[in-house]
Amino acid sequence: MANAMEKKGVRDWSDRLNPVFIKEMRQYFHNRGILAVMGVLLLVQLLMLVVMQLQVAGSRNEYFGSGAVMFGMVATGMALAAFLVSAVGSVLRFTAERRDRELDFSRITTLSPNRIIWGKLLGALVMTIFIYALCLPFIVIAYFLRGIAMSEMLLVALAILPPVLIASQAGILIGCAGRRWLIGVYFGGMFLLGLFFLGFFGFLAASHAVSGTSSFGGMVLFWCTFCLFPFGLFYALSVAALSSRYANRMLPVRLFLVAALLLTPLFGLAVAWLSDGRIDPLPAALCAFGVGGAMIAGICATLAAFERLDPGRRVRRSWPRNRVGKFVWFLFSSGAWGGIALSWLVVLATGVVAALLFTIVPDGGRTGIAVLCWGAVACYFLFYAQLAVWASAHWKILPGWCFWIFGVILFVFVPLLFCGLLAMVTEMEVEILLVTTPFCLALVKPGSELVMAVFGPFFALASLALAASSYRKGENKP
Amino acid sequence: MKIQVKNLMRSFGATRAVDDISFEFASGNIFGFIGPNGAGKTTTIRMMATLDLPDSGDILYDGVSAVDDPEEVRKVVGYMPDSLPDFRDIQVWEYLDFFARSFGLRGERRIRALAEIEEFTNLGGIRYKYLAGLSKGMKQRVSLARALVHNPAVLIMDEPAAGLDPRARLELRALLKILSEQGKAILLSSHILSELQDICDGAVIIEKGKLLSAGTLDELLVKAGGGTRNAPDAPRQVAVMIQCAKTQEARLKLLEHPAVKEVVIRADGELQAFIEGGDELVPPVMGTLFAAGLPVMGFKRQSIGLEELFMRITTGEVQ
Repeated sequence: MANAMEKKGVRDWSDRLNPVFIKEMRQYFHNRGILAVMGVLLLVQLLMLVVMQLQVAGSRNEYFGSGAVMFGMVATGMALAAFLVSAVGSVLRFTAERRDRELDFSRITTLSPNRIIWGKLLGALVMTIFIYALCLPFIVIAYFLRGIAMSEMLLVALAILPPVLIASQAGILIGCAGRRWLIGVYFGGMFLLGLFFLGFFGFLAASHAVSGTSSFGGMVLFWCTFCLFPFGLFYALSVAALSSRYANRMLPVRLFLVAALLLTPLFGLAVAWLSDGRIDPLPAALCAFGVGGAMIAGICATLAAFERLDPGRRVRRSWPRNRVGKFVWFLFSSGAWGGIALSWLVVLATGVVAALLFTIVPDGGRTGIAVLCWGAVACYFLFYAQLAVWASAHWKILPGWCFWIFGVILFVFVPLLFCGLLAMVTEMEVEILLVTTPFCLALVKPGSELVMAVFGPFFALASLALAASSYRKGENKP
Repeated sequence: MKIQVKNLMRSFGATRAVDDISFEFASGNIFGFIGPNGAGKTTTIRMMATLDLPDSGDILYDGVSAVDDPEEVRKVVGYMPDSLPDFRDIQVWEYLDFFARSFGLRGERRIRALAEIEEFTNLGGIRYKYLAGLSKGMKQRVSLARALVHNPAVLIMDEPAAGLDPRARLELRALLKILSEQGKAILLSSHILSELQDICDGAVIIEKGKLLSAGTLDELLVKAGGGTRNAPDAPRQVAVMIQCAKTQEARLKLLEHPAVKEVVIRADGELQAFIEGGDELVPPVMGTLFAAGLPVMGFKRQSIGLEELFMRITTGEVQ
């Protein structure tokens, strides 16, 4: 009787959990590969302990003080195992689940994309914590060996979590496509991300050694910005990828980008605060908004090239009736034109910020030029996106992203390659060939940044006129 | 529940896989979805199961659009594909439990639904097996159980009998009969037409993406001029195959009779006469030939099944 009641209690409790999370946990613990990784992790750590004991015994030193080395090795193993189990596990499993459309639960059940992604992320997080728990005895041993403080151990353990979660989220995003070949792309991306993190930690260590000041604040800022932004973007893109084709897929992505834009001044203020008064808060906040805005406009424009042209009947039905509401919904709704319009608004906001830096901030000229250049880079992205949208509206045989890739090859890679080759074999100055690339003249002629700030908007405006001529071409979709 | 497929269109590049298909069926009906390979059956079924979206047209489930509200439609549709994932890390009961939870079944309701579905599809013996270790027949049963776990009003099945042994086919037929009696609307595609004939109330026949014929079996047989199965109200039409040396004269003589609606001279030289009114009119019609002194070497009352109907309606061309 008690057993039955207990079972009923467990059932009722499990009903409150995300079904995807339950499935993920069951699969994790049935998967031989994952169990093997955990077994190897335990074995390696045991071996490490044995080797360490032999080494210390051989040199007749005391154990005390070798905890930092031991913890370093445990943390490395922990990070690797967490990456393999949580992140690689996510991408492999989700790719397999999405590969066959007819068997894909995101298409045959009523689970929302949000629930699916949260279930998978929660699974990855629990497995990472489980791996931490597996390593806990060795961490405790490392602590008693001395040489490392508890707070430092905690900090390292916490620092491992965000990259693992970002990698898991990136894995989910790649898995959404359900293509095996993309797994290779994922590994490449993760490798680059790993290099980036290693580089950053190297930079932190170097600055710490040179300045002798604590970089804790910088590190927190780094995590908050460079981890949260890709995590959030990958999450929003995953929701978009899992939503049905004619749903308002881009709403979460655009909401996220705008929210990130609104938070950028906080980043500038934080940098000013961390600089101990060397940087003024106002120009820092404006500069962060301008640069962040340019980046977000570029992302938004590029994504627009990957979208359907028209929001469609289903999305338009949810729009408010008044003009202002309709326009705001248009900006946030799926459809290439909404993305392009939002990008233009953000670029204009960047221009306003640059103007403010020039006019109201004393000595803000240099920062203003920098913001202007970033805005020009965003204009180049708008240029490629608008050309792609125009081309896909006219030649519906290929989707916008094909034309976007074609445009980037034609306007960026070919000029770069041609310019590089000419520079190698001739003495001619052929940098003018780079006018269709964001690199333009600024890279080769210092001080000519304004040239780029003129060419970028010129190309963007010209392609906007072209794209606008085909505005009506994408209508009448469901 | 009424399912209406309206002017469905779907193209892949230059190929029009589904070209303006419309048909409807309702609760309690078992409809066969028939067509040669490459006819567009799976594409249509996928769109009906919300796995794909049409370029134009719609599928309405009691008025709810599969294009505009796929999430709502999924609540009432159970889709059984012709395959099951080969996961090595999930057991049969876990797989079904996941789908039950995904469709919002909670607590005792979920436990009861899973127990009933396991019993109905006879999965008790394999509930702890991993999906990758199942045979084709077992997988089909798990697939059916998965499609039924949320008790959908509509069941869409893609080649459910493919790869099954005779016993499993008989079991599947029995299960489908029960489900139909429970009031479910069932659409199933299959190549085994003789089996469909025994369980289907109607059929939809497509070829090269176009609808050739749709309706109840009686309607289809009448349309094709092959007599009826059991519809007393339908105008009975009988086909008779006649072997006669003088085909042209025989054809003209037959057409003089008011009950003869059409006479076709087939490629093998036989005459096919369609007589409206029933079997009792066959002797007087044949009597006209004998009375005219035409050399009739033999004749046979032709019975048309789904296979004959299919062969008669389709040309066998693929896109």
